[in-house]
Amino acid sequence: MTFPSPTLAFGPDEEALRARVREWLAGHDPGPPPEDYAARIEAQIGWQRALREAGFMGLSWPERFGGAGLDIASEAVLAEELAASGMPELINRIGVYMIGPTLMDMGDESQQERFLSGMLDASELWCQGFSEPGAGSDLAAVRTAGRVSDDEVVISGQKVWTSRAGIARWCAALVRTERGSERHRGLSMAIVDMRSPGVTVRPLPQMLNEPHFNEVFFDEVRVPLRDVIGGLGAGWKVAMQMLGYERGLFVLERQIRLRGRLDELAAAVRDRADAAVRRRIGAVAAELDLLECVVYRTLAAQRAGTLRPGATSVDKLLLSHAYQELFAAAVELLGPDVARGANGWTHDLLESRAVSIYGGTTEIQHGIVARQLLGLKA
Amino acid sequence: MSDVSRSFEESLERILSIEALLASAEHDEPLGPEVQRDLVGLGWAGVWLDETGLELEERLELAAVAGRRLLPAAIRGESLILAPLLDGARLDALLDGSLRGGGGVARGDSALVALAPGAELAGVLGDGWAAVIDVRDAEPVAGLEAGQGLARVRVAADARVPAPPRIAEHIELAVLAELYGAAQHALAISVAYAAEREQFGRPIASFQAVSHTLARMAVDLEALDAGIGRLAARGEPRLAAVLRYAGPAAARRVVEGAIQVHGGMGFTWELGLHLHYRRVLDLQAQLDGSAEEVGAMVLDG
Repeated sequence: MTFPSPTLAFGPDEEALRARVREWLAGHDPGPPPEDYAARIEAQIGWQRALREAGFMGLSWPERFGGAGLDIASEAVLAEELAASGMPELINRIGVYMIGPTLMDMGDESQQERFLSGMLDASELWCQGFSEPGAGSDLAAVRTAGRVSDDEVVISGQKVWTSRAGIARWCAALVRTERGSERHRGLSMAIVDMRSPGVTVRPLPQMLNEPHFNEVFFDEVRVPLRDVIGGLGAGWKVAMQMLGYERGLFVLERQIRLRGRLDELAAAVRDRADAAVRRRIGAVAAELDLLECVVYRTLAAQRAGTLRPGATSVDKLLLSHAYQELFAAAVELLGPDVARGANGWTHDLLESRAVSIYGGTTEIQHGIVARQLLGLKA
Repeated sequence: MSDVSRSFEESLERILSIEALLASAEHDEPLGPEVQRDLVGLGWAGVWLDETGLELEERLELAAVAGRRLLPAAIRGESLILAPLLDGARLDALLDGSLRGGGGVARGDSALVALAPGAELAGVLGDGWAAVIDVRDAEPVAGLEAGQGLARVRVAADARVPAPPRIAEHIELAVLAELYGAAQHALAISVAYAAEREQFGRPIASFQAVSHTLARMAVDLEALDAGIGRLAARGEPRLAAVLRYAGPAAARRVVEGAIQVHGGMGFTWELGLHLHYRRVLDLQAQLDGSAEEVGAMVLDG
């Protein structure tokens, strides 16, 4: 590893793209997202479709898959500009950033042809069926069964924490297709049509009583064999590939939004910023600035193809801490009326507790760092 | 790692034995004449001179080597501050070792400088100014980093010249890189120790309480690396303030974690982790950053 690690630098092409995105955004202000859940989803789908029509979706996808054939720096420019727009994150980000690239790596031509284009224009939303009641941090404990018969996989079992399951058309589901297999072996990644008979989605309200995720029940759901990514038995490899895409741009987007919230907080306390307030704001800002440095290092490594296995756990750990510190600081600095009220700050403080749990808990991330970055046999 | 820094690192590993470093610290005396001669022979004093032609990244890699191997602080001062302020015969003399010196950063009109044995001149960097001063009669100060030749000097107003461009940025970056090197060494020996040291019948690294401590140290180190890389590329004032505050704090946590992971051994004189700890604490004080300074920049922005 070289020291110091390079950071992502933008060239004239990326800056020209930034100018184009800005100009487009100025003429297409989506306004604040609607309060009503269904209306908000509709607005988000329309927003991504508009971005697709303007040519801004799939910037780093190869042209033969409907993308612009650029690299990850262009996606970073887009993410930076979109995060400043106030619109929530892309509705189909799981498809665009995770499942799509995995299909390009490990899917076959027919899968690429049938599934990729609907990801970009959000005409087909995707969800990810990984976790189960008995398989949370221990993903290899997946028990949902996929019985292979002739040219089908017949799936029965339960998934949980599935975001967007109620509105998704497709689900990339990790299922055990080899009866009696254990751990990482005998798993397959099946693309389940969420309109199939036997699929039941039950909202699982989170701490804020918002329906972000769901329980998904599969009862003898039939999936054609040709919709298994990478073939039978490749499930664990496909899952790891997919999770490998779950950083970089995701964290960049989050980091920029948190930066915006920090600026709001600073504005709110500016006229009574004594030394203690300055220290608190400074400590949170420093965490966010270092997170930014780490994210741009990750993106530079992704671009150069030098990303070390396990390195993005650093991004996740720093994001979790900075995120939770920011909103903890906010409710303390803004005073009892804000702290006791139902408002954006208290909402986001509660919501921040999720970040150190989803996508691999803080404890799991520390284990990954110890094993993969430090080479410990823990 | 570049060939230049690899060769410097191998040389330093040979020249700066832990025994020699501990003896120097124990008696608060500089490293002996033979070690000094070998150190001068490396040509370290010229690393930050434009004419040496090294890239910034290569210089920072060398600063990290200095942190890992505990290069004497006086050589940091000679290379970063004094050499860029000298020219002609005096510069040649510094580079060939017939003239020794040191340097440091001023607070107000006085500075703590680290001086090589027999030092005649020190480079001092102040707020927008720099000075080369005669240090033959400088008053020695007992330092936390014993054996580094610490002394207090005053810089008269008429000795000051405008600071060379970018010198303050270079010092900050070099100090941060040195902190990185010290912390990197502390983490590396901790990982090796935890994998080898057995208690309760198994390596202590197999206990999550220990492996997660090591993981947190790694996260601090990674963040410091990313911060230095971005600051070196972009040089933003706010990021510089962030790193003055958060950079040494991260390095310090890493070394403190290393002492903890080594258990009783970590607290001994002979293991020498205290040398890296002293170095990190000294550099933290030199950078003198604060969350309050960062906060003021956010609030004024």
